[in-house]
Amino acid sequence: MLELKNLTKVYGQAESCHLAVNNIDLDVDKGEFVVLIGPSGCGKTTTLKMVNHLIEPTSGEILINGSSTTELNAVELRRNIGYVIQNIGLFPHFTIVDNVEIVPKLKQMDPKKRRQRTLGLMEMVGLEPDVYADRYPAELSGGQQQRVGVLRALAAEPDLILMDEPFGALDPITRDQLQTEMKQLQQKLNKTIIFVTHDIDEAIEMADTIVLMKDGQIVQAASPREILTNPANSYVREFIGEERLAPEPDITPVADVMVMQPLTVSMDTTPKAVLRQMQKHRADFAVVVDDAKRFVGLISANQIMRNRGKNKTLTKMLQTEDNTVRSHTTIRDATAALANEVQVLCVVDRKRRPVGLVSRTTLLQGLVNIWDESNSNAVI
Amino acid sequence: MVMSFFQLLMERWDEVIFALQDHLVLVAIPIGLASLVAIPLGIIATRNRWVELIVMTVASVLQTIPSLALLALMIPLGLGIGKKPALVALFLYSLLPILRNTFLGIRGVDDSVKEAATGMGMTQFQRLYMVELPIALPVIIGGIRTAAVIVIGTATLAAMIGGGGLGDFIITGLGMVRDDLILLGAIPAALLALAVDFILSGLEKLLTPRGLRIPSKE
Repeated sequence: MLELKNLTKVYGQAESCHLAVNNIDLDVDKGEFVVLIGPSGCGKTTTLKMVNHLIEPTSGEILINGSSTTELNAVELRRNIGYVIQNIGLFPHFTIVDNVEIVPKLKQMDPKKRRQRTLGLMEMVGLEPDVYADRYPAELSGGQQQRVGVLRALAAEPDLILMDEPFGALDPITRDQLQTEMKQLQQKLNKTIIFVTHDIDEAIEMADTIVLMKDGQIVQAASPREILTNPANSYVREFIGEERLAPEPDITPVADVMVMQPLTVSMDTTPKAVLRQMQKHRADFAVVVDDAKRFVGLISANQIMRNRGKNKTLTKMLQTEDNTVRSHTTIRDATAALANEVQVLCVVDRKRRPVGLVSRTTLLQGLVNIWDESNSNAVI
Repeated sequence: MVMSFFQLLMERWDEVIFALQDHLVLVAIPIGLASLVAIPLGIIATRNRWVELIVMTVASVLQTIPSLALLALMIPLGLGIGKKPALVALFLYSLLPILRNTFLGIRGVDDSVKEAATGMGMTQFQRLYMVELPIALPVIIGGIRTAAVIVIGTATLAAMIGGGGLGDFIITGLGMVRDDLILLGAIPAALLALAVDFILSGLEKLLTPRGLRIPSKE
C-alpha cells in the first residue's frame, strides 16, 4: 500500500546541514496500523509529513499503491490522504459538519451524499448530530474536538490516514478513550494508518507494527510483541523500559528457550543420508529446507524408519503441516500449538528460515528456568 | 460663546454640511484606496519575508512623519496645493494601520489551523479565502477603523494646503481668533470621528464569524 524507499530529508546546507531522516525504507500493508515512535528529533514527524508532501523529501521515493507520489499534484494527493494533526486544528469559523465535510467539499462530492456520510460518521463516534452538527469547535471539549478532527480525516474515505501525535494534547482519560475508539474504528473501516507518537504505551496499545526511530533512522520495525520480547538492541530495551520486558510465559518468546541451530537438510537429500546426519548430530528431527534455506517441513527419524523400503523420496515422507512459529511467539502460544499431536515446532525468522526447534520438553524446561530466575531475583 | 456658536451654526448650516461632505471625501477616498493597496500588500507580506521587511519599514517611516509635515511635503514634491496633495498625503498616512492589522490578522491565524488547511488539500488561494481571511477579517476591519479615525483628525490639517473640508473653519477661526469658528470645524469633525468609529466597530462585530465569538471551552 505504502512504500518508503531510501527516503531522506536534509535541512540546511553543506556543513551546517542536519539529517532529519536518513535513508529509511518502510513497507506498509493495506489495513496495517503503523506507529512511528522515538524521542523528539528522531525524524518521525518529518517522515510522516513527507508522505503527504507537507515536507518535500530531499531524496528517495514514496510509493502509494505502487506509484510514486513525487510527480503527483500535492494538493490532489492530500485530498486523498486523511490527516489528523497534533493540535487538532479545526477551523474555528466553521460548524462541526462544515469542518468534517471540508475535504468532500474540496473534492466537489455530491452535497447530499456527503452530508449523509458526515452525520453517519458523527453518530459512529458518539457525537449526536442533532446536538452537535451546527455547533462550533469552541463549544466542544478537547476530546470532542479531536473526534471531529478524526472524522474530518475520514470524511472523504481515504485509504490512508496520517496521524501526528493526535492524542498528545488530551488528558489521560480522554486519551485512553480515544485510543480505544480509534483502534475499533480502524478495524471496522480497514484503513491503513501511520501514527506518530512518543508514548510507548500508546504505541503498544494501538500498533500492528511499531517503527522505533533514532537520529533519522529506523532502529527496529516489528510487532509490539516482538519488540517487547525481542528488542533489537539496548537502545530499544531502554526506550521500551525494563519494566515492560519482564519475563512471563505470556510474553516470553520461544526464542529464549528453543534449541538453537537445528539440523537442516535440503529437499533432495536421500532419506538414508538424513538418517546418517541425525545420528551424527544426535538429533531426532531435521528441518527440510528449499534452495533459499526456507522451511519446507519437518522430518523425524521415526518417520524415515517407518517408510523404510518403500522407496519414497524425502519430500513424500514430510510432515506437511506448517508447524512453524516465529521467534517472538510466546511460550504460552507455542504450548497451545503443541497441544495437538504435534511434537515439535520449528522456529523460523521473517523469511521462514529455521532458527530453532521447540518441543514440549524444551518449553517446560524454559518455564522452569524462568521460574527459578524470577524466584532467585526475589530473594536478592 | 455657546450662544454665538449655535447662532453661527444656524447661519452657516449649508456651509457646514458642504464642508462635512468635503471632509468625508478627504477620508473616504484615501481609506478606500489604502485598503485596496494595503490589504493585498499585507497578505503578500505574510507570504514573503522580503516583502514584509520592505513594506512594513516604508509604512512605519511614513507614519513617523508628523502629519502636518507630510501634508506640507506634498508641495515641494510637485503636487502643489489643493485636493490632490491632501488626498495623497492622507492615503499614505492610512496605509500603516491597515497594512499592520492585515499582516498581524493573517499571521495570527493559529498555525495548526493553517497546517490543517494545507494538509486537507486546500490550495494556497483556497486557504486564504476560506480560512485565513474570514478569521482575520475582524482584525483587518479594526485596522481600517483605526486608519479612518486618524485620517478624520488629520484631514482637518488638509485645509493648510488648500485641501478643504472642516479644517477650513478651524484655520480661519485661528487666523481671526474666533473660537466659534474653530468650534464650527472642530465639533463636527469630532462627531464624525465618533460616528465612523461606532459604525466600523459595529461592522467589525458583524463580520466576526460566529464561531469566533464564542468564548472557548478550554
